[in-house]
Amino acid sequence: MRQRNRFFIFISVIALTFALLTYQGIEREEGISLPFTHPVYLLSGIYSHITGKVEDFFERYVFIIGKVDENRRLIERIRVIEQERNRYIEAEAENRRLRRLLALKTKNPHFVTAAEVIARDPGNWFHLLWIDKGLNDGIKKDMIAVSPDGLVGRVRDVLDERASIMLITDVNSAVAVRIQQSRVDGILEGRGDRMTFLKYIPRDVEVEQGQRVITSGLDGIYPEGILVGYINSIRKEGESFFQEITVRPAQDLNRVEEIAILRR
Amino acid sequence: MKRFSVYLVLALFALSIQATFFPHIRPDLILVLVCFYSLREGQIKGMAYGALTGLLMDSASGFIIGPNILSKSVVGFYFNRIRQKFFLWNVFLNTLFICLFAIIDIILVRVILEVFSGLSFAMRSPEVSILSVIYTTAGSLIIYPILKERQS
Repeated sequence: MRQRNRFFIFISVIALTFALLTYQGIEREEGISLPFTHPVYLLSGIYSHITGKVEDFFERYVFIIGKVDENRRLIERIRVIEQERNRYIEAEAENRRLRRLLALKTKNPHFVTAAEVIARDPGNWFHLLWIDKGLNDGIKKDMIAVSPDGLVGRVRDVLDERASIMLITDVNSAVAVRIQQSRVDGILEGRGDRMTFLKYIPRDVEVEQGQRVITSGLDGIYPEGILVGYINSIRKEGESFFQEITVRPAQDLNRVEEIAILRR
Repeated sequence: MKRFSVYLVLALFALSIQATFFPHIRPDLILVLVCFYSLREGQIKGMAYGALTGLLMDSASGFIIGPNILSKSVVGFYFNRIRQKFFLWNVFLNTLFICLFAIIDIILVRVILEVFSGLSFAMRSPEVSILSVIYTTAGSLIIYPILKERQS
């Protein structure tokens, strides 16, 4: 095919895509696009399962087979014991996390279910988590995801056995919040990285680094009083009415493994 | 068609790896696959593969028509065009241009998102984009010998 023809096809495809984008805008639809993603999250679930099995296999067999003399067997034994110890530490840490989730369940009357994180959004632009529970476990859209350390986000898509959580760091996320000490309300928006941005805090309000930010409940989505994060930086630029404040989420959202789902 | 199917399965694997094993910043393995496919199959097939994998990527983020369809189509089309300008193609040129296209991809996606969806990434730390480009380039270095061997 001649270069001119190829270029014509290329321009046609680009023009068609642009036309579709202009016609519908880029809206993040719910439900419609999910069949495409099914294989991806199915594979992610399989990975989690396989990773567990492979680790188990290595821990149980591979390091023992083929050791001939006593010395090597003993060294191997030490290694196995060390791995057992690591597994014990891991189990203990998991136990601790689950116990904290359980405490959340007994303390919080809005508790729906606890869930494990199985995958994340494959790109770098949006912050979504996929969990291993869905409609069958009573999860509904806009329910709240929390960890024992603080707010994680809210439920976006729900399938029978899976649901996605939009994190508070996502650029589409907005949460009505309050600075706990000064009782001043603002809106917390995601920036698309690890931090969040606290908007509409007037210039004359005294804000200090490390102050706690909690949900205010004014948005009708997030219940009041959940810890969201801590003030990270404060800037008063020019003649602006409001301060520029960044908030570090209380829960490190890159490390969250189990979450609890709460109803409003 | 067989090769297209193989690359499509590879794209699904790449997406699920990105979704599972990278908690914070992820490499764009799809972009690497689009570059390799374009290199192998030419501009039009490269563009078609880019559009399809872009669609997959967008739908994983909750879009129907999203920015990746466009950006990956452009990458698929122009990566092969660049290849035609060089008599010899080796791992250095490959890495250099994948790095360049990773940057172009990020710029395109950001512009499209900001223009069509009104979302603003102005406050986002540049660390995310810089590390993503570095990881993608590193990913291309790892995948290069594997795909090169399969092709020869």
